[in-house]
Amino acid sequence: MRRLITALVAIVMAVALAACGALDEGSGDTKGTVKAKKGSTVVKVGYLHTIAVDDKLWLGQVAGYWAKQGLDLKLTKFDTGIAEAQALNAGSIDVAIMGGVTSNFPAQGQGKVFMLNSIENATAQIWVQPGSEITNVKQLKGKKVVTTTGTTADILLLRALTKAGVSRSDVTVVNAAMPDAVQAFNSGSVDAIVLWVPFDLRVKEADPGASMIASAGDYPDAAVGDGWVANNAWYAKHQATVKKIVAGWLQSNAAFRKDPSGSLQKVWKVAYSQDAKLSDLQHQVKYQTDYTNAEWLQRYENGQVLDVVGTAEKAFVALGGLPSFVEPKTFFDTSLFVDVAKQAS
Amino acid sequence: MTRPLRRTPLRWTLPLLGVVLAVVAWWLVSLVMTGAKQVPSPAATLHAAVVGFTEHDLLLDLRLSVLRVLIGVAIGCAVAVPVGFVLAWYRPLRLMFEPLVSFFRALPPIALIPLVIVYLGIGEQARLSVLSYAAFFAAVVVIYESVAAVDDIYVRAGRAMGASGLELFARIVVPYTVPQVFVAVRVALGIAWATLVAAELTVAQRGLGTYIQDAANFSRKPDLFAGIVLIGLSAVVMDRVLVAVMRVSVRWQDRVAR
Repeated sequence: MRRLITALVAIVMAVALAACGALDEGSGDTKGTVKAKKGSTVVKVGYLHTIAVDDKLWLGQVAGYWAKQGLDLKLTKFDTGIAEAQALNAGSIDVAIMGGVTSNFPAQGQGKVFMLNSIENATAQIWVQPGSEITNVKQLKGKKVVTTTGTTADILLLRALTKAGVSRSDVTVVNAAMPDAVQAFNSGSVDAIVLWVPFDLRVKEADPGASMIASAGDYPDAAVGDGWVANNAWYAKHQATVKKIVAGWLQSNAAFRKDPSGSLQKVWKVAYSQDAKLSDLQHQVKYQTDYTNAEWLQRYENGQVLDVVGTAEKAFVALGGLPSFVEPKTFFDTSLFVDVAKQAS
Repeated sequence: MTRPLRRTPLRWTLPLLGVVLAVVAWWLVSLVMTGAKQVPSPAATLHAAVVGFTEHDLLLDLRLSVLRVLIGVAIGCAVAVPVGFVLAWYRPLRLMFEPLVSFFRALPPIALIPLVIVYLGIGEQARLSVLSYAAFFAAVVVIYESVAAVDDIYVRAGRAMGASGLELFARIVVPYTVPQVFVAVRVALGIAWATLVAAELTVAQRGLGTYIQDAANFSRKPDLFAGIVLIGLSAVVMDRVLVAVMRVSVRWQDRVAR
């Protein structure tokens, strides 16, 4: 019995010792990024690790644009916009950079959009099996289609089926996380997949005979805006910090527009080299739309950015992800971006 | 009469043979499964692991996951042991709470992730709470079932000799059920490893579960396999260590090798 107690105490002590500071995941500083100056304002930022969402974020880290603004961004990577929204609401992060769900959760009062990062106008695509008899969207009727529901891809499916006059109920839509959806498609379990780039590369690698029958580029109303969204309470108190974020982003965007391939290479080197080939990113950025700072400003002033967010929001309403349409100007505050961009120009 | 297996070289060679057979089977499958359903070979998986350890600090992921499991199991079992004894010793309490234990035990931890993120955030406490939860419900049932299985004759003998309730508990029930506590910890350990990937879905930035998620997101199959194999290996090593501790600690109890 004494031996047992000794063993148990030893185990508990070992665990306690192990627990002392050993659960440190690292400082979050990535090699090749500029460290924040002492006394900088800390902002907890969540992001999706996809180039249309985190390109300017990472270039800002590499070139020190955030540090120059006196910001210390503490980054947390998320796998889904849903988890980002949950963390944003819980106050675990101050700001989230989201994909298509920029038009969804903020419309439900969960966060304030203050800036778009880019517009994904053709990232979503519909692919069919090699040798498939399906050559157009109309022929998806009665077929099994896999996608990740409630995402950019699902919006394309909605728009494409609507335009082809096919009811969604006439198609068997299977929901899966995109990596799993690609596996299901590659194994021949489904007739078609609605994906977003770069998963088209994984489909082509598995079988070059697979073919694309439609892309979001064919449907202007299938474009989505990727946006910077702040926690409501944090946004109300930290507008000066938001302005600094916008200023840093404008510098990053200007650098990206000045040298797109060089900037992409820098981003790949620090943030993606472990995950993807540079050629994957080069392929991916072809399907997103970016503007110069002056062009963005124009689109903020004439309301085009609100239209992009509102159009995607209507798709979420049609898909049942939102109870009703809310005017984008109620959850997308364009004023700070306009102020800062005007001062910078 | 045959010698007990644990005293022969077979004790070491048979598990090794099992591993070799599994690796050969895996290698054969990798030769057949190519193209879209490609299975990386053991060599490709080993290479991915080596690159992971040498270039991407996979050791940090391994260390974090091992610690999370250890702490989760320690917390879960530390709570499960007294709760299990109390539930077993006080029948009204057991009757009252057994349905609740069954209810919560059946909930898959992955279903709790959204709630955990909302209420506990995305820090280490979120991951540890998921692992502790899984470990607690796995262990508590084993413990109270083992206490309930204490042979009545010992309890009656103790009472006949004038032992108080506390003495019965300390002198008869606890020693009798100690080996089962180790079994409970072993079960909890297995469940905790099985829950690791779900626990690290609470936005962990590093860890084997996160490593596997990232590999899946970017279709890096050898890395995916390497992560899975490392989880399995870690679980086996920890289980063997626990068994060794158990052998030393409860040597007084007869065990029959079959």
